[in-house]
Amino acid sequence: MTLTTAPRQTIIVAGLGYGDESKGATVDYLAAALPDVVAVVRWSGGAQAAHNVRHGHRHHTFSQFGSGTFCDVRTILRAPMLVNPILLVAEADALESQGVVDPLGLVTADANCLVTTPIHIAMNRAREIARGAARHGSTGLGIGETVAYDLAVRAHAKAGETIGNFAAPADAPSVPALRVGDLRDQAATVRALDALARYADPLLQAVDDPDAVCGTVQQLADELCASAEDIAIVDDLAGVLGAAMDAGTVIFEGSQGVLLDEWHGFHPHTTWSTITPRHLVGELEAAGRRPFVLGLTRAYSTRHGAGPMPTEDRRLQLPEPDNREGRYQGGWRTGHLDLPALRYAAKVAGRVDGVALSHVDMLPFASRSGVPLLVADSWNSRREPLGSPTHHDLAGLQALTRTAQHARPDLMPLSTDPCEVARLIDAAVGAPVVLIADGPQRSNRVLVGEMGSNRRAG
Amino acid sequence: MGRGYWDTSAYTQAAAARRAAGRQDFGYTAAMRNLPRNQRRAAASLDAYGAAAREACDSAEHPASTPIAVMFDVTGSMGQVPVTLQKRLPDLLGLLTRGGYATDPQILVGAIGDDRYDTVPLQVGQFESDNRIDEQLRDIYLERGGGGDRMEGYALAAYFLATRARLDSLDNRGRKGYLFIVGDEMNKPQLYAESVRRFIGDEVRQDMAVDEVYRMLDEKFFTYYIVPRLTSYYNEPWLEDHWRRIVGERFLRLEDPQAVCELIALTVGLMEDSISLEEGLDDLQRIGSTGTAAVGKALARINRGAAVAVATGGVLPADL
Repeated sequence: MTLTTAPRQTIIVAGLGYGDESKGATVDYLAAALPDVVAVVRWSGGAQAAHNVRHGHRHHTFSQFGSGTFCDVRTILRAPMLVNPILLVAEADALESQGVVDPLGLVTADANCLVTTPIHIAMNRAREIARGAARHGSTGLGIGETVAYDLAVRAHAKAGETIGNFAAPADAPSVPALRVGDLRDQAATVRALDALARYADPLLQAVDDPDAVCGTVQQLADELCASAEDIAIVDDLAGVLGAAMDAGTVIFEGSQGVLLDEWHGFHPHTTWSTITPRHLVGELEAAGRRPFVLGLTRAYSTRHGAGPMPTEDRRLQLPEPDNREGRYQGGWRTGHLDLPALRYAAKVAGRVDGVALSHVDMLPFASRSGVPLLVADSWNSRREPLGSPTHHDLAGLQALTRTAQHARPDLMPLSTDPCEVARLIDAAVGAPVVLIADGPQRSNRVLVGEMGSNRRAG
Repeated sequence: MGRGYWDTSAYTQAAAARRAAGRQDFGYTAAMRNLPRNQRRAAASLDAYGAAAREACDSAEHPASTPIAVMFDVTGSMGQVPVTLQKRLPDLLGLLTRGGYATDPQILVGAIGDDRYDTVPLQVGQFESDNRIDEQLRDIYLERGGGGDRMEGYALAAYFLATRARLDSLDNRGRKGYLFIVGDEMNKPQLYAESVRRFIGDEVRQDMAVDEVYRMLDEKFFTYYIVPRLTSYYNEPWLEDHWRRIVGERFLRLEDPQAVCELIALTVGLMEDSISLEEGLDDLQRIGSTGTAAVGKALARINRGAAVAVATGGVLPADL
């Protein structure tokens, strides 16, 4: 199976690192290069995604809108993705100024998606402030809180009980967590927000956060419901998705990277979200589709914020137009190509049919700068030090983190020839490199198609 | 095509009715978005493929038609300007007729994209003298594409009008039409034969020089290029250099994108010798236009050209 310009493909784009593997630019390129793209589906993460797309004079950091938006391709938000309606409207405004017509008209949301509210964000920030130096590398957008609150409600958690690694600030209410479908009903929204506000109150009172949002639940409900008014909310998401896949090519845009997956990453420096496309692949196959999993990696490693990163090298100074220090997330880090991590990532992903390799222009750049990029084929002489992913318990996850923390990467020189690097990656992942990028623009990308033919998109 | 009188209130009423019925102004664009990219098409009234002609005819009702074509770039670099034009262009006919700037104006609207990268890079309506222009504007698909190479498919639109426009004003009275291209980028290096085949349907085998296409167009139209502010390349010298080589003095920079209609109306009025620039600007002031100053500034250079024309007896040299 390969990535071609054939009609009606189902493509899953998944990062094989810690995020920042050019998911946005790749999805934008595919939306332009594949002739019959009909929708981009966000299916994981939430508004913390920061997927950069650059095309000519246009640039946008996609957060909840799919990265095919510049091609006027619609976005489908599918649970378990978390929806932040207020930020969605703000993003629509930004897109409008980038020349996108009626951006909210492009959005269809699953009624079943959990809603992230300003209360969740305040809780997130309160916890990160309380943690001080022991930050988890959170983006501060309330992603974990949204998931944890829903779990707490469903588990009837009592005050002080631990949900994941979060302590419940109060007894969980009996009112279910707010979902996108509820936003069609003002009264239901008020009920859900009231319960959440009472739950959050002890946590928010305990920390002095100058940015804390103050407002009445009624105001919040008004704003959330109004924000949701201009998007299509559907109860039968499977039907909508099926119709789209019958009509043309659908791209599932993953968020973050599989090394941040809640069950396979280096706990606690992970995200509250399943990043691996395993479940998605299973569901699509059960529905009779044959998804192509496109794994993404740079020609080196990067990581935002805290957590193990064995090949990190602070001497590497590579230009990075988009990633800035996040106040709650911590610094931007760069490291050498890490094949043991990549091998593990490919296994975590479950299946990878092809690889998109980006940032190959940094290979000669680093070489010229005097600190060339290197490659680690093993850690402490072990090529697969992380073993095979299992459904880890907390102890197993912590063991994984220890292995990564104590890893001593065995670094070797790396060719500056993208084809050589592609061969290494091909062998590590067990799937061919099908797309190569030598810059941030759509026009920097090329699909290495069947029989060596290739195709550039504008 | 092109019968009936313009009634400004009809547009207002139609807009109100659409709002009342909850119908989006972007109805056609919204419909296209649900289709795979390669199945998106121009609306039938705007489809250039296989079209035989776009006619601006004299009739008993409109004995001395003045053809005015407005083609605007709808690619992403244009920012929100295409949406502004979609909203404002219905005012053009009213401005022309109320001011008496041109006899029996017939207006054609259309949209230009990128023939290399977009699905619908050419949409051309019909010459109309009533509020059917409003319908056609609403049916324009705002694809908002573009190749990121600072070049769009203007020459494809120029080729279409050069080969398809049938103007009674020219055939019966020797008067060319007016074409206003609103954009912010350059022509592709050539007019690609493949684009002509694919989007117009002519069996052309050879790419054509862009200059040659505009020479053909020049036999039928005075062509103006308007670049409004709030687009990506408004101030770029390369843009002006490129278009001045093609349209000469008729390259107009407009500070206020809201004032495109006023600029077009006054330009036509000046060239038809119906008004002086001062009279035109007074008219704009009187109707409360906020773009008066911008229009005055955009036309300052053209106006000097008009003065020369008047001095030669009110007949414009063919190559002005």
